[in-house]
Amino acid sequence: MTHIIAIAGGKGGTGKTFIAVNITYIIGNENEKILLIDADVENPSVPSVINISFTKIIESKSFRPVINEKKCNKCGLCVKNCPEHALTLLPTGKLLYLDTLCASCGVCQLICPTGAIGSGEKVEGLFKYGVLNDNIDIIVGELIPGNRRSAALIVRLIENHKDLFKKYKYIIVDSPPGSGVGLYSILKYATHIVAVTEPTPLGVNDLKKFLTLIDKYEWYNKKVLVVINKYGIPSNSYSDLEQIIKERGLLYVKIPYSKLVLKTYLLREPFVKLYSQTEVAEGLRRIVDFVK
Amino acid sequence: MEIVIASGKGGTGKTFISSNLAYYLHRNIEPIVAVDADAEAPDLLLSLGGSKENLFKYTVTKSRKARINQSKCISCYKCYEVCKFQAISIENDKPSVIEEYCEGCGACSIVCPVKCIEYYTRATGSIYADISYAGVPVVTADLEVGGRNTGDLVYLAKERAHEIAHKNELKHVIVDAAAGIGCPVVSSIAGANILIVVVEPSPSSLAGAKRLLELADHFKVKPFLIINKFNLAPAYTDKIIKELQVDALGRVPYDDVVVEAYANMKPLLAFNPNHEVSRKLTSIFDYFVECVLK
Repeated sequence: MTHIIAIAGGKGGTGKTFIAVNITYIIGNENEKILLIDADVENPSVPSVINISFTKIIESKSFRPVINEKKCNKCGLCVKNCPEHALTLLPTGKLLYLDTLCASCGVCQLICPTGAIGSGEKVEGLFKYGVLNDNIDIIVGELIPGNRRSAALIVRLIENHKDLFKKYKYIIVDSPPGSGVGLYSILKYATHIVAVTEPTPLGVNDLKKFLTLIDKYEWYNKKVLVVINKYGIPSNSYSDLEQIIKERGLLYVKIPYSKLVLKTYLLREPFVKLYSQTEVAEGLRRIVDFVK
Repeated sequence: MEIVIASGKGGTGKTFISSNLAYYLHRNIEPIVAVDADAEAPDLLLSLGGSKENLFKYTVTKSRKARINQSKCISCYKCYEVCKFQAISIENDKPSVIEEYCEGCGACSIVCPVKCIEYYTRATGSIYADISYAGVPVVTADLEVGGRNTGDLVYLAKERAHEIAHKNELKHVIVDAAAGIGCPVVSSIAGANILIVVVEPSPSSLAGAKRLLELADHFKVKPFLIINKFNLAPAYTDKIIKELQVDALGRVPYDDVVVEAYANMKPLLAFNPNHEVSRKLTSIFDYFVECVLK
């Protein structure tokens, strides 16, 4: 069975991409076929921190109404039924369409009695396909700036590639921060959830909210690992984190704070490739043991 | 004025800058109101010391969802074909709605020949306002986990903050935005006057800032830059300033004292006002008030 591993955890900047990229690299080096999906579509970081050769780019398109003024009888049904208020009937009788508000639901077309609304397309995002080496395939989802529908793009990124998952033994999904529906669509399919946090009150607060997502959907059959990244920074949040972990009986891994992480980002190389004999690399290998 | 603090990438220090700017303005210049628009992971109130007094709290129940009445359904699958959000799944030959994916648009009920689709509403999240221990009033948007319509929630939180500002004759609203460039960030930036982009010297933060600036351009909001943790990679900081071509307000160094201040639930300017980082922040905010706000 394919292991689908979601790297998530609530707060931004805790080190999700760092962990996703490095455990992918470790597993790929063990001669396993692995797919890394960058699902943080609003701000995909994987291409910024390693050198990927992209081989294919696909536009993710969605519906957009195309108004035929000649057929339109100004009945206003589309305006009344559009859930996003993206259509307005001007006093002049012209039907105005606001692209930024449109959710691409297609209701206007369905409700129009005269067939005045045709189907157009708009590009909401890109799916970029690439490789890091022979074992590691990569898909990056990227929202086009100005577009607000990131959750729908994540749903498509996951749902449209589900059939592909079977080809791999491991799928690593670098997830967006937060606890909303975008994350839901990833966690729903995950077999393993790696919740990355940091020992600060904000990290603790966001981890708590994130874990209630697991409770809400009773995802207790999924394996959960908490990663305390940047371990060692001076803070009094350690006992809070330990308490959360203990109460829930969760497994956890500590990764020490290291200034080398940023250095490897600037060199665009996986940390474990450059510094394999460090405590940080040791922690990363422990995460790999968990997801296997 | 409405001032939004955003970043594209998460963890660059939006809440750090927001909480300290809010505290600085509130104490030294004039009273303000702050908004936590990071509805999926709200931390602003916490970083301003937590709630000293709750002003109000209410649940927003605006998320419309479809439900299929299985006893009337004839399994024609027209709803399945028409749904643009992959929100209808078919199990045992019967279609059913995946609540999380449903946008409540109504397309399925338009095509249903036996009218077996009804609607109900779900909680989107909550809006609450508090006076923080640091003194700043904070309006928080807090999304229901697994929820959607973050933009609506942010819009409502901003509306409440402007009401408070209007009633108390406050001139400025500070908005701490979410990471990313999606729905909640669009709602944060829409209607704002000034955008402060917080970057850290890393390639992913630079990429995130570029995408955010594209968005700012759509909304014609004037952007400024603060480079946080600049001392972690000073050369890369120079590269960022050169590449982004946005007026930089200043550079803030990383120091453990930032985490210590959070641990003590105080904005750094209150926790240790004489620290080097505090002095740096103060001079950036002085400059901001002199050259931008006035």
